[in-house]
Amino acid sequence: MAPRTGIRIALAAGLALLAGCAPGTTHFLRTDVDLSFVRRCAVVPFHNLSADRFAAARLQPVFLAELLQTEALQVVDPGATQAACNRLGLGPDTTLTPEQIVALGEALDVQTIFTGTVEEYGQRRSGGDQVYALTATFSMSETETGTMVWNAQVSRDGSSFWRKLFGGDSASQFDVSRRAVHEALESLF
Amino acid sequence: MRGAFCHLFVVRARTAAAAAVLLPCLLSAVPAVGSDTAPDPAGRTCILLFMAGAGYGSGVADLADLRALGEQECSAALAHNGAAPLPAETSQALQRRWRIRDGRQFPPAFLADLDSAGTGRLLLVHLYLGSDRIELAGRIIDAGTGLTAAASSETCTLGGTAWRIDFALACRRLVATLAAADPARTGAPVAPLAVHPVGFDAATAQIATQCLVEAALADSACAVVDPAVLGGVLVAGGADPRRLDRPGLELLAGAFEVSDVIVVQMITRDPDQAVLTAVDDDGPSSRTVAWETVAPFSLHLRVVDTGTGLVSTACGVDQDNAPARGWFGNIVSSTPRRLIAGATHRLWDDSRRPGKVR
Repeated sequence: MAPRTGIRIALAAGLALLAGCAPGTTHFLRTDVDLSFVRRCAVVPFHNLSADRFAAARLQPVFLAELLQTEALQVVDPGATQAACNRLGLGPDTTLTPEQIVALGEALDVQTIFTGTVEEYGQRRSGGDQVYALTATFSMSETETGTMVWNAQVSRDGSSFWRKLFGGDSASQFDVSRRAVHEALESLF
Repeated sequence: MRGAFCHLFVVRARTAAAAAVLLPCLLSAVPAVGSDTAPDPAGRTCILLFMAGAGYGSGVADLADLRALGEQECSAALAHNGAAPLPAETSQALQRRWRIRDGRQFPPAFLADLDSAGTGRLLLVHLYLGSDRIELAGRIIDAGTGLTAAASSETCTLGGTAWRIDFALACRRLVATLAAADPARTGAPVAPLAVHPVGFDAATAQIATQCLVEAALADSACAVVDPAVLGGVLVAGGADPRRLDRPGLELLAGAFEVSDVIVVQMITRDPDQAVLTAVDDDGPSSRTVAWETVAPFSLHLRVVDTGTGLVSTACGVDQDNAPARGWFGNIVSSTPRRLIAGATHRLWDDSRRPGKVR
C-alpha cells in the first residue's frame, strides 16, 4: 500500500468517526404530500418543556428567521397568528388537535402550520466543559385535514472537535439555536 | 436620629444654595444655539416629562423637585433655541384630560387637540433614575404628522452634591441636540412599534424603543413614525400592539401610508432570572430584569408587510453584558443604555441589508 493511500484511508476513517459523533436530526416526512401547493404558513408559539421559562420565546424568532432564510414559504406574522389563536381560544400550551389546525388555517389563510417544542435549553456538561445545548422538536401540519406532514427532533450543543482539540468556549446559545434550527429545516427543504 | 436629620437638612440646604447660586451662572455659560433666532414657525412645543425605572432610592430624594427642575430646564433650553414652549399648566391640563401617564402611547385625539391649539411639536423626555446616574432620553414629535423629528439621549451622574448642575447641563445638551437635528426627511416613512419586552421591565423596553428610533433616524433619510403615536393609534382603533393582526396593520397603513411595520422583541438571557429552580416553583411571573441590571439579551426584529400581513424580513442579534478587554488589560464596561443602543444599531443595520437576512 502506498503511503498516500494510507493517509487517505486514515483521513476517511477519521471523518467517518467525527460524523458518527456529531449530534444529529431525526426526522419524518410524509412522501405522499405535494409541498409545491404550500405557499403560506404560520408559526404558532412554541411549547416549553425546559427549565428556562423564556426558552420557547427565544427559539421562535430564531426559527422564523431561519424559515424565511429558506425562501420556500411566505410566513404570516406571529402577532397575527397569536391574535387568531386568542380568537379561537387556543392557550399558549395547547396541543393543537387536527380540527384546531384546520380552524387556524382557515382563520389565517395558510396551507401549513409549524409547531415546536423546546425540550432542553441551556448549559450541559460535555467532556468536562460546560457547553450550551438545545434539544427541540419541530412539526409541520397541513391545514386541509390537520395531518402532520413533517416532524424533526434535533439536538445540538456548542462543543466542536476543534474546540475540544485547541480549547475555547462553547458556541453561544444563540448560535447553537440557529444551527439546530437550520439542521432541522434542512430535512424539510 | 435627630442629629442625622439635622445633618441631612444642612447638607441639602447647602446643595440647594449652591445650585441657586450656580444655576443662573449656568444659564449664561451654556452655549446658545440660537438665542436670537426667530420663534419656531411650527408653533409652540409641548413638554412632556416622565420618570421611569428603578432606583427610586437613589441619590435623588425629591422626585417632584427633579421633575420641576427638568421641566424648567427643558423649557428654558427650548426658548434658548428659538422655540416657544407651551406653559406647564396648559401642558399638565392636556395630560390630565387625555390621561397621558407614561408617554408610551399618545391617543390621536390628544395629538389633534395639540395641533388645533397651535402646538405643532411635542418634546417627550424620559428620565431613568439609577443609583449613580440619570439617563435622559428625548424625542421631538410632530403633532400633526406623528413623525419623529429628532431623538437623542444624555447621561448625568449623581455623584457629589452638585448633581443638579450636571442634570441641568444634561437637559440643555439634550434639547440643543434635538433642536439642531435636521427634520427634513424625504424617504417613505418607516413604522417601528414600541419594543416588546420578555423578561424585562417596562423601563428597559422604553430605553430599547428610544434606541431603535435613534438607530432608524441615524441610518437613513426615511421619515420615522413615532412608536408612541403608532401605539396610540392602534389602541384607539381597538388593536393590540403586541398581537398585531390584519385590521391593525390596515389601520396603520391607512393612517400613515406605511408599507411595512417593524416589530422588535427584547428577550432576557439572564440565567438567574429566567431559569426556574424547580418545576413546581410558583414564583411571580411578573418578576423582571430592571433597566439598571440589564443582563445578556437577544433582540429580534421582523418587518411585516401591511398589505399582506406576511413577514418580509426577520433577524436577530445577541448581546452579552460581559466587560470588554481593552488595550493593556483595561476593562471596558458599558452602561445598560449603551449596550442596548449598540445591539439596536446592529439589529437595524442587519434588517436594512437586502434579502431575508438573519
